Amino acid sequence: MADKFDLDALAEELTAVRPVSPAVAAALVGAVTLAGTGLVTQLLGWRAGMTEPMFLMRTGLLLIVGFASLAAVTGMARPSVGLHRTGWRWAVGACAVVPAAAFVTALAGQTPVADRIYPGDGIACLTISITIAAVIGAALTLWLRRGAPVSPERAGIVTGLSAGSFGTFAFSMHCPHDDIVYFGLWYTLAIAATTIAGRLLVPRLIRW
Amino acid sequence: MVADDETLARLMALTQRGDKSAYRVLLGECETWLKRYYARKIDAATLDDLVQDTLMSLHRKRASWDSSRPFLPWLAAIARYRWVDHLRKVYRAKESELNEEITADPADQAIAAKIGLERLLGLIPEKQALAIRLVKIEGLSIAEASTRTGQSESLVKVNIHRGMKRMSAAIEAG
Repeated sequence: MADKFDLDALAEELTAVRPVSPAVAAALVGAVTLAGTGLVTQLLGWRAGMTEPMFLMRTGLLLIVGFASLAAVTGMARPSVGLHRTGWRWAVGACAVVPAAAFVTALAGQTPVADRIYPGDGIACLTISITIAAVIGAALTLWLRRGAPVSPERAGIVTGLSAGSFGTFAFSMHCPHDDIVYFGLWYTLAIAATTIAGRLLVPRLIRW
Repeated sequence: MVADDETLARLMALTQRGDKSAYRVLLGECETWLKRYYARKIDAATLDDLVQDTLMSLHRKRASWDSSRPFLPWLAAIARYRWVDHLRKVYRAKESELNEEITADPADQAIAAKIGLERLLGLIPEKQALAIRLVKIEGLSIAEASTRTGQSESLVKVNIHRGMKRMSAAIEAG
């Protein structure tokens, strides 16, 4: 009978565990982001104008989304009924202003959109940002496997979102373009791609 | 009578440090709590399996409890996850053996009200909850549920599928 499930034997198997630590996740993400930034700036160089308002604004937004979604990931690893982790949604909502503004600016501007999006640079931005994000996402997923996410799909989304934001942040240290139409398009595409990839790939790796 | 949250949290903290005797006590307490928790939603035969699965999950995922937080909401999140996963498996296997078993919760009314499975069903649209109740809890066939609700058979299936997804996403919601 199922009731004879041996609790004594299960207790005998017990070994000490180190509680899942958000600090470890933050350290992993930070280390990979720094390594990615180092690699990008070594190979391609630092951008000029590190105090340009548009650069500071976009960098700040990337960090806000990155940290908000990272906090959601680390929270999801340690489930608890009654906790509502919606901060990342507000951060995404606030940052959605950027592609919206880029769209309006592109429509209203005098310069042709084709001259503002630099497709060659944009593809490089996409490729490099997503590559760094993939490494960040892999590290975060490995960490998440120790936890107990009760909504694997949502955990996959925020993992992809966080990885994409930090990956794009790393590339942005080189990115010379401050036109909102440019980064509103390419940065959004990069983050959207990693978020979708996170939603599709991560759940099957963290389901328990 | 199950120990209070403070006691369970203390036992769990000792468990994370590898104290086997504290863990044995904790497992016993959790087994009792889980049986009561699942009693209204799972038939007796399945209940024991689900309790075992949940205790195994507790064992495997014991590192995921945060000692700065209460214990029972963590256990409830684990239990809900296993329950939704169980329903999904039953649905996939096209089994409908669950029996309706309505009994009053004997104790812990406040916790049950806050983190009960019924509340989880209350978080999804009424038609989806009804389809899940009829097919997955009362054990009706899709055709019978269709007749009972006036929904087409395909709509019943869609409502179950969507409801399960929503419940899965809402496991941590209060």
